[in-house]
Amino acid sequence: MSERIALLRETIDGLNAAGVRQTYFYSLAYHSLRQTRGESIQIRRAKAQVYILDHAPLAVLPHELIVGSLAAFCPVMKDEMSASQMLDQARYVLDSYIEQGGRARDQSVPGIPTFEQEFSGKQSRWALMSRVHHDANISYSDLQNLIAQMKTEYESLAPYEIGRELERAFKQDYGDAKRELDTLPWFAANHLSLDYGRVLDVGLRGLEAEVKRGLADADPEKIEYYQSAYMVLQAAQRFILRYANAVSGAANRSRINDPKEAQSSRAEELSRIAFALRRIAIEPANSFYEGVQLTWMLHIMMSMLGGSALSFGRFDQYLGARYEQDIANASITKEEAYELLCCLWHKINEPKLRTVQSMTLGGVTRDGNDAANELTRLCLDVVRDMKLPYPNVGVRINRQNEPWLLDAVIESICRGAGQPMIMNDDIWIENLVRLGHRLPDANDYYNMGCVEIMVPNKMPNWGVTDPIAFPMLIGRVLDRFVQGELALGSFDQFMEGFKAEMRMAVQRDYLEAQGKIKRIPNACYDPFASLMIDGCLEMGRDMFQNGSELGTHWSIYAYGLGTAADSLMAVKKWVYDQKTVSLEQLNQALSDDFQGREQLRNMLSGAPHYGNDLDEVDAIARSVMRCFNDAVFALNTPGARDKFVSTLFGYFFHIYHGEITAATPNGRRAGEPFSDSMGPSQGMDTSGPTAMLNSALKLDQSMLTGGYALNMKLSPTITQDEQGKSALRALISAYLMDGGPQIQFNFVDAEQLRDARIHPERHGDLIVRIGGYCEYFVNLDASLQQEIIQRTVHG
Amino acid sequence: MVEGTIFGIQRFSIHDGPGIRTTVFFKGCNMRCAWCHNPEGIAALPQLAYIDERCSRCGQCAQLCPGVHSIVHGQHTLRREGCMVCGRCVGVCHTGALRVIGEQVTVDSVMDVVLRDRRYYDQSGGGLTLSGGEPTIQPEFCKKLLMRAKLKGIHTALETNGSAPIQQYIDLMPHVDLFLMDYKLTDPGASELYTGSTNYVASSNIDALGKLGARIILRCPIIPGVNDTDEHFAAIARLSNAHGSILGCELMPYHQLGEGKAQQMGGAEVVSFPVPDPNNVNEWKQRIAQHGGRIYR
Repeated sequence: MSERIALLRETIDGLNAAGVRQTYFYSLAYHSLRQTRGESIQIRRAKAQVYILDHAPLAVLPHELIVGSLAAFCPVMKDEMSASQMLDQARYVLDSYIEQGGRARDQSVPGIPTFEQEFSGKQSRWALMSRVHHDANISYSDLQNLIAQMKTEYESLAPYEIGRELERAFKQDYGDAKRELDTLPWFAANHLSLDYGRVLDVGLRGLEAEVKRGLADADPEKIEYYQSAYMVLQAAQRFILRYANAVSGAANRSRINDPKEAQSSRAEELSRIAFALRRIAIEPANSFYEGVQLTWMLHIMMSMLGGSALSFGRFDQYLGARYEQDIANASITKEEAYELLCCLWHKINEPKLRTVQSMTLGGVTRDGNDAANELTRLCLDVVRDMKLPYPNVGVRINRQNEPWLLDAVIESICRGAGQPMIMNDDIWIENLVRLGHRLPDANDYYNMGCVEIMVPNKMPNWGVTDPIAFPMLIGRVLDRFVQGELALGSFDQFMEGFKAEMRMAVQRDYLEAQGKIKRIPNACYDPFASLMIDGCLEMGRDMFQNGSELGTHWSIYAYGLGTAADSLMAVKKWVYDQKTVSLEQLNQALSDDFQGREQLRNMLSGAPHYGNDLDEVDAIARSVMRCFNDAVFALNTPGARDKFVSTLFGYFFHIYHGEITAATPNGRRAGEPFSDSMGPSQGMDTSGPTAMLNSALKLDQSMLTGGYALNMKLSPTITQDEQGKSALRALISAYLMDGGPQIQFNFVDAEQLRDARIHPERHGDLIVRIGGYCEYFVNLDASLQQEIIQRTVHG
Repeated sequence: MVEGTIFGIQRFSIHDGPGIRTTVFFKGCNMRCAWCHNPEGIAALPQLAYIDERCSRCGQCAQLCPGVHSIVHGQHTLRREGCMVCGRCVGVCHTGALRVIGEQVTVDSVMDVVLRDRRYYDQSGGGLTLSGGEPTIQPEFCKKLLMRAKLKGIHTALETNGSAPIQQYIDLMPHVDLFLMDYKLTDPGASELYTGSTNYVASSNIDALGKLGARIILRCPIIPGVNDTDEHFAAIARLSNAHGSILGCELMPYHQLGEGKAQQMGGAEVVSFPVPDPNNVNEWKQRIAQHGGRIYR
């Protein structure tokens, strides 16, 4: 690590540790919205965006080469609560919760909730990791400590209730501003990628020309879009120029304050940055440096406007040619470019930016040729060396890619970066085409957020509905059986009952999506984002108002395959094949959480487990997944603009849902987590990685359209030598060759993790993979930590 | 139709020959090495293993089989002399404290597992490894398994202590792609003392097989204080270079894994030695190299 990068890391670690942060977002937006009441929604939104961009406080950090920061926009709170105030508040919250009969307060959000609002209002708790601890008024570690203490004081409450009530209570109060935004609602671009590449190519000036063309001959219906676009475009240019001035100011201060040589060279550096900013406020990005800087400016602006989970999309594609050209004409060295990228990587990990920002590398170009280039390689070097949780990097592996690409991926994984994850072009390109996308768009796919598959630059926000936990459906089958609604004389009938529940759950999600779709027209606008979603400028429409070239992907999420398959297998074996226990007895034991039925629990958990290459239980898993994928695929009508996609990935819902779900027939106790994403039950894949992958490869991937996550945890001791590395490479190659859709690796040993729980201060650098992305282990909730420790360590 | 007795099949085995392999552990051994790291492979017949830390003292096993199991004053006592290894107690043990080591299998049932990982063998240049215990003391089963694997186009490796008659190895040669031959000791006196074997013929077998062009890797357990001698290193170096088809030697530094396992089996003849650190191992490799030896890895 160069001295600059080491210092920058120190700076950014310091910013992240500085305390609880607030944001100017609400007050700035509110200031504008108060003045525009009565105007059209689109114009109000545009004016508020303009106001935010014009008034956001800017920060220039020491040592950085890429500027643009939320550090001043989200300042550290001045009066934090004292420890005793926190305790009083926590007791007050829980006492009133008990007084109100222990009912969760209504958290319903008006209008169209965003991804996170979607889930944070539900029965379970949400803040299982620090980065989703939104708008909190205490630090994440304080919250964790409070929860731990309250668990000892309030034994009558379930631990998750305590966590949930406290995380919801300790929030910043933005007063009227937040209420005004919530009722509007403010619906910013999130979970998508903006076409940064287009702006790099034509410059903001180029966009302006297009907007002016639109304004000149727009029909009345479109005029408002172009007016909004014009306003925000100008504001974006002013924002970059304001930054240029801020950087010039920093350069002057640096000259005056410390005229020593080292400092004056920093002044020179800042002057060059300011000069570049003035150029790219108007012009296309001429060099690799300008490209990275302009990308970051656009990204920071969108983040200030409320955007979250913004992806960098296919970064190596829109910047690759600039890099190769600069190297060819010697205007940058590889080392300089590497340092620049290291700077960018650190910027991405600044405070209030740590939502899942993804980046995709490798794969093929839109016309189907090998897309991996020298920038791909350089980015992978940075991933390997920086070991940062964000961006969440996905590498597409295509048969056209040369072997070095997978080699670089393995090297990074083996060095303990926990990144990147691997996606299989064979599966995703074909499945996107099957879904109805044109081949060039399918060739262009990227991983948004965690593992979600989208076409870059052309779609509005990823659409979400309630995730389906496969294991919860089994409980419903048993309920209906007990109520006499279902005859379950054979295992086939049981499976049919289960599949019927699954189809109903998919249908519920479909209706939920339809409800949301109905509320979008004339309500959702993001003028800034709509500058950078292909089709909007041409169509004269906002991306939410059918301006985007492609429609929305509505995701039906499902996960918990291991728990469900094991449970169904246990029912088959013990209830139907061996007849050791009746369905009634089983149901009773589950309701009682196996109280006094420990032997039955042991017997149930002794049935074969998914993930061990055992054909019978693997066939059940296959049938579960097939039924789900088919049900989702059938929601699509040919030629429809919006599409429904199946996403077999559970984020951290396996914990969130597990906490509120009764015991399951695989012997899992009430409250314990479900299996994660597409993996086997925790600790039950005891036959090694080849068996685990074989089980996964027996699934039918042909109708898989939204995303997929398979976690494999390997002991770092396996891959410390060349032998282990080449074994890992062969393992991955075989899996991809035979149609595995996605895989990601975790390299930490359980001992390390246990120690990290006891001494978090010693393990601040420990990164683990959860769901579809990486996170610092110490930033996780205790139950999530425990679950990660329990996942089997192979080898 | 029982054809052989094994005590385990390990998939994703990456240290028993090239690539990703499936290793089948044969039960029963004709040697008694004091440092044995697989003591559960020594006895030819299935055995009951017991892990005290896992036992919850629930008493289910004692109820079922009072002659063998008893729980007195919170202490589980196992009388092995009365045990028929019927395995019924394992069925009632819910904590996994009891386990039967060794199962009787057929070539078909073993191959069913082995063939499942063909995609990984193909990618990595891996295959099947027979290990143990000692595979050659179940000669029929050993040969049948190797033949079947070759018939299916799978790379085969045979890990052996080198004690079988040379003719047996020669018979196996067409079915073995790679021999992993132990070379344990050079001093014949030490051999009897530490391995219970008076007629240790590995060295001549290695030489003879090498002469016939068999591909061989020497596997050399190095036990501090026993065979970390210059004489032994020189002998290893000599053998590792004796023929072009000998790929070199691989050192297997002593570790204590065997002791815990020996305890679970009711105590086998396993002795504790000092555990070498990575520096020792590097030094050994250097000494072998100084003698002109070929290090495989």
